[in-house]
Amino acid sequence: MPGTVFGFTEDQIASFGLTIGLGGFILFMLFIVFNLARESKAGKFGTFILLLVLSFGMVGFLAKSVIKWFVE
Amino acid sequence: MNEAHAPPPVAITLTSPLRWLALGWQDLRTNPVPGLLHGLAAALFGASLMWLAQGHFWWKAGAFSGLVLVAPVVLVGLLLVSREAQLGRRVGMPAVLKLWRSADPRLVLFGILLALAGTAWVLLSAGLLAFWAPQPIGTLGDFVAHVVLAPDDGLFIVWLMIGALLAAPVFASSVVTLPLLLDTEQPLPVAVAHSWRVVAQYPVVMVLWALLIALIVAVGLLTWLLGLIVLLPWLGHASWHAYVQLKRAGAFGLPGSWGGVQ
Repeated sequence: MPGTVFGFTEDQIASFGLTIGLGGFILFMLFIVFNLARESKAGKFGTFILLLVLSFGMVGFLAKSVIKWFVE
Repeated sequence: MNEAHAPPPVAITLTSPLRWLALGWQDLRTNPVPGLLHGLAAALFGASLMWLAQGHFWWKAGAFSGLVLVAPVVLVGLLLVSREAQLGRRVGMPAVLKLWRSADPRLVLFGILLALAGTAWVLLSAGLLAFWAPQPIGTLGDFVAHVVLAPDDGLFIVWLMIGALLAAPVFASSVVTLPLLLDTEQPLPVAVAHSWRVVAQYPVVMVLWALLIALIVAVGLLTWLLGLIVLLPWLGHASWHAYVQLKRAGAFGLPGSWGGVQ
């Protein structure tokens, strides 16, 4: 098919990139924050709050993707 | 409890929350009646709220968030059932009702504090959405359409993150408080301080535990509350085991340094 790469259209590749890329990016952010919290000795309670808030954000992002997929 | 019978110390790892859930499930299977009655009561209470607050989304949202935060107090009877099971005794609803009738002022005060925290959470959440959402949110449909499915990812995720930020101190104050109050004669502020200390000692494990609780409750809500009949008592029993395992890991000082189940 013309205009496709390995059988995927540009739109599909862009949406893969966005979902996987953004997911990976969030994981990476989680790792950076975890490291920062450890190195800056933010205190273990600070680590708890940072991780809790970020992981809820991450779960929200995943939930949103799942709900969208169901609705559409 | 003499030293000869003291159980070996337990290590707290990332898989510990799953172990607590497994032990809680075992308790629910061995003695299902009190748990299922609690679950049924919670689901019926939730359903009557839905019915009473028809069309008033904020009443519903408020009542539910409040319910989730106050649930630990409601489930205190199941902690008792698990505690007695560990001591080799099988107790039913009469023992739970007796605990309720005793109206332990520490438990009552903790329940009131959690309810206040729940109210503050809902007010802030409503404020955030009123300030930020592109359109007024009046129904659950509005919430899904304009917040959850908004083309811009930000609002829903920020709303969840702020929710988590506000829930963090509540979770930290309550994660082991109730089993500790049930198991010992410690006053409420001491129990809450122990709870915060445990969270600070095992931050990653506790985040995982919080996520598991949130996901399990979400599944219960998504099944039109029916799932809660089983899931709520499961969490209730599991939170007793979380306390016992943390205690055995030495999270509250040396095992055996105070009374209660070892």
